[in-house]
Formats: sequence, C-alpha cells, structure tokens
Amino acid sequence: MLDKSPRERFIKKDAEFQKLYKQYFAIVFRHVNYLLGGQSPTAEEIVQETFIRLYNSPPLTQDNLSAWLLRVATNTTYNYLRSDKRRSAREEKVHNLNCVRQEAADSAEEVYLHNQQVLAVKEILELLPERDRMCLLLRFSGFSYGEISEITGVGLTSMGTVLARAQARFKKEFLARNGGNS
Amino acid sequence: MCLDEGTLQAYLDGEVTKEKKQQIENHLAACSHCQSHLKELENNNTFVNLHLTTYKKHLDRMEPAIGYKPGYHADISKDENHQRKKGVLAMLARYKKIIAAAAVVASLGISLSFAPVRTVAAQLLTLFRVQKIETTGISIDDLNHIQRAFYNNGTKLNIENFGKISSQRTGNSTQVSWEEAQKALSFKPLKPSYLPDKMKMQPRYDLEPITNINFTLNVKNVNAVISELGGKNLLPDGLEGKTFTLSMPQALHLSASDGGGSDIKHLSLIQAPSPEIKLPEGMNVDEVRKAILDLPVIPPEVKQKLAALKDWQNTLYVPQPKNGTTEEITVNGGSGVIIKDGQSPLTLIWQKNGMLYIMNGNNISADELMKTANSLE
Repeated sequence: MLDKSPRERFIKKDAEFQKLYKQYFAIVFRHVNYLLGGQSPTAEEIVQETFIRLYNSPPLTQDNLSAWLLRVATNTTYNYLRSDKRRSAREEKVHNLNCVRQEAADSAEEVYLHNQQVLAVKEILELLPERDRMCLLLRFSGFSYGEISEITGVGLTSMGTVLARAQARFKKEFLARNGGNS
Repeated sequence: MCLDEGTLQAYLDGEVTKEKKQQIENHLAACSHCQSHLKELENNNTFVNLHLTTYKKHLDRMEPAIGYKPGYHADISKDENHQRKKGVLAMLARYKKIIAAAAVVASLGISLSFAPVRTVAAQLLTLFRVQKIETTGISIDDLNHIQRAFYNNGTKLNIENFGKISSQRTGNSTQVSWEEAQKALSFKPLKPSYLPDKMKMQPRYDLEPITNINFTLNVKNVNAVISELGGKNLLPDGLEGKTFTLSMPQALHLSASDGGGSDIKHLSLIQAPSPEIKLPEGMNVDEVRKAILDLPVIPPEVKQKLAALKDWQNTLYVPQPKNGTTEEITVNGGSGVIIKDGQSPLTLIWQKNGMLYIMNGNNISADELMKTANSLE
C-alpha cells in the first residue's frame, strides 16, 4: 500500500526498530566518538539523535542502512563541531592543552586519553582546521571523496589538495613534537 | 606540465577516472620529479594511516556510558535521560571519586576500577561491606597518579583481559507511593520531617530493584599484567575462574525541591542497605591487596598512605577533593562525611545500622542539609 507512513516501509514495529538499534549502535557510536576525539557523552547524544532521525524519517530502503546511519551521524557531528560555541570552546582547549595534560584524569574517557600515543595524535589533529581534520578522519575511515565533499562542502576537485596538505602538516607537526622517533 | 599534489593524492586514493589514471601513469613514467613527489605523498599517507589507526583503535575501546542493554532503550521516543540518572549507582557515579578511593583502598580492584565499562558497578566490586565512612589524607591527585601510572605502562589494561562481567537486575526501577514503598522494601524507609524553607517532597518515589554484578577473574591475564608492571607478588592460581558477586540491594530515592526560580533548591536522598561483595571461597584478600600494593608503579608515598588505612575492607574512604574539603560528621548517631567541593552540590554520605545514605543538596547550606538529614525518621 502506498499510503503507509515512511517508517512502515521497513520498520513496522518498534521491536524491529530496537533490533536495528541494537545492531548498529556500536558501529555508529565508534565512528562518532572517533570523529570527536573521544568525547563519549557527546558522541552518545549524536548517536541517539541519529537513531531518532531513523525512527522519524528513515531512508527509502534498508539497503545499505549502515552507510545511511554513518552519513547522518557524520553530518550531525560536523554541524555540532562547526557551531560557534563549540569552536571557541575547542580553540580554548587547544590553548590550554598543556594545562589539560596536567589536569588529573577524573573520568574514564580522560583516563583513556592519557595514553600518550592517543594524546599525541589528538594534539596534532586539534591543530588542523576543523574542515581539514574532518576530511582526514573521514578519508581514513573509508569515506569516498564524493561523500566527504557532500559532508564538508569541500569541492571534489580540491579534495586531493586538501588531503595532501593536511597529511603533510600532520606528519610535520607530529615529527616536530615527538622527536622524529615515530 | 608536472602534476600537482591534489591530482597525485587523488591518484593515490584511487579517486581518478580510468583515462586520467592512464595519463598520470604516462607522465609518471617519464618524470622523476613527479615520481619523487608521489613517493613523498605515499610516505605521508602511510604515516598518517599508521597513527590514525592506533588512535582509532584506542578510541574504539571506549564504551558509551549507557550503551545497549536489552530493554533499556525500549522506546527511544520517550526521554529516558531523566530516568537513567537516578538510582544508587548513578548517584555514586557522581561521586566517582569516592568510588575510586574505595577501589584503591580495597586495592583488590585497582584493575577493575578502570573498567572501560564505565559502570560504577564494576568499580563497586571493590567494596566489601561498608560499615564505616571516613576521610583520608589521600587526595584525588594521589589517585590520579596511580591511574596514570597504570595507563602509561601499557595498553593491556582492558577489562576484558581481566575477566568477565555480567549483571542481573531483578526488575525495573518503578515509581511508587510511600505506602507501596513501605510494602515493597526489605528495610524501613525514612523520610525527613524537616525541610528547608519552602521545599516540598515529590509525591512519588523511585524504587530501584536488586542488582547483582558478577565478575569472574582471569588470573593468568591479571598475573601477566602484574609481571609486566614489575610486580613480584602474583595472584594465586586457585582464583582462576572464581566469581565475585556484588549485590546492590533495593534502594529508594526521594527528592524535594522548592519548585522554581533560577537558583532552584533541590535535595535528593538515596537510602539502601550497604552493598555487599561475595568473595570466592578460599580467597585471601590480603594476598590480593599485597600483590597490588607491591607494584612498583604505585608511588612510594601513596603506597604508604594506602598501607596505613586500617579496616580497609569495611570502610568507604572519601579522598580529598581537588577544590574542596571533606569533614567527618555524625548524622543521627551514624558516622559519615560531608563533601564540599565547590562546583558540585554538597554531598552527605553516612551509614547507620547497615544502611547507606547519600544526600545531595543544591543551593542548600551545609547547616540546612545537616538539619534535614538529622530529621529523618
């Protein structure tokens, strides 16, 4: 029947929705958490929002649902990161990074981030402009140029240049800070 | 004409058309300059890939605070934020510093307390039976010191390496009336007869069901980590596969507020019999404690402080918060601690006759909070 609500195309019952939720929660969470550099409570909120989107206005078919979810979650994450308030908070954070390092790790996520390797990478990533960082992170989680372009608004023809420069900068800053041993 | 870096990068990433690819390869075959440029980009690719892979691997080990639990997100369209923040576990989570301290003190659980499953449940495993609550000179910094020492020493400190965790709840949390609470609880619930100015009790109470958390130890892995950290005292093989059980008894959550304004007054009280841990038979906790205290990664001065704590199996030690104070107090004849930590609401935690009480007050003075606590009947 054509007059069914969009949701009923493939999510007929809440039980089915729950099944999808259970199936994809971890995948989406990891992806968002990675993009956010380990702010897990925010990541969780974004994942929730993504699933609410799925519930309210799902895609036309269930084919490639994980790609759909990841794209929606990525968009939400990117919008979140670009909001002014967030950005200034982040810039301040970069500024205070050394203090942050000294700060005691109160929460589990911070404890995790106290792993030196992770901190080193995080520090470099935060130096990059939001847009470049996003392109880099998405590229290394398997997104195509077309998809990255759609999310970040970087033109398809400049994608190679943006990535090449971001990578060169990443390497340069990393070696400068970490003594070139790794 | 030489190729620009964007084109070469796209070529590396397999993002060029077939024809373009052919063109690029033709050019590359004849141009050593572009060849070395490509090589450089390739090196950058490998470099970034390597570091981002490690980075992602670490972040992937973080788990959401809630995550998926069967029936938990039964209906996403309902806002459960409100619900899930309640309960003894959540309440204690706000004071995870206390829990961290307990973890260190009982020391059994140093490893357990860092569970990436951020459930306080796992951390609570280290409580035996709280009979006393005291302050200690150990500061939050000391505790963090230990945590960091562990974390800087390797990446194997993942809960999965230490054993298995499972939990069982005997039902869902429900909202009940006072009469229903009295009937359903295995203890006699108390209510304050005094409340600060204009504050009123919420008419419904949250009842938390009994929760059991089981932890089964993988001694081989724990010992491997101890050795790696330079420890000499290993856990006895006999503990392999043994299960610890933490029982969180039924709990009742009451709250009161003055109903409005920007500086809303809010008070909440959790009451529950003290959580208890069942140890596997034949386990010598002192042995375990010694194994952990002897680890060279724990700074000597912290080690001394830890070793000096007496009756560590039955006491919940409250460490010094960073920007605040702790003070030992008596509520209705029960011993406890008041935690003043600047940003967070005041917290009062005490025990009496095998019951544990935690009271939080937002925009309420310490005197008023004490007065309310003393009026419980």
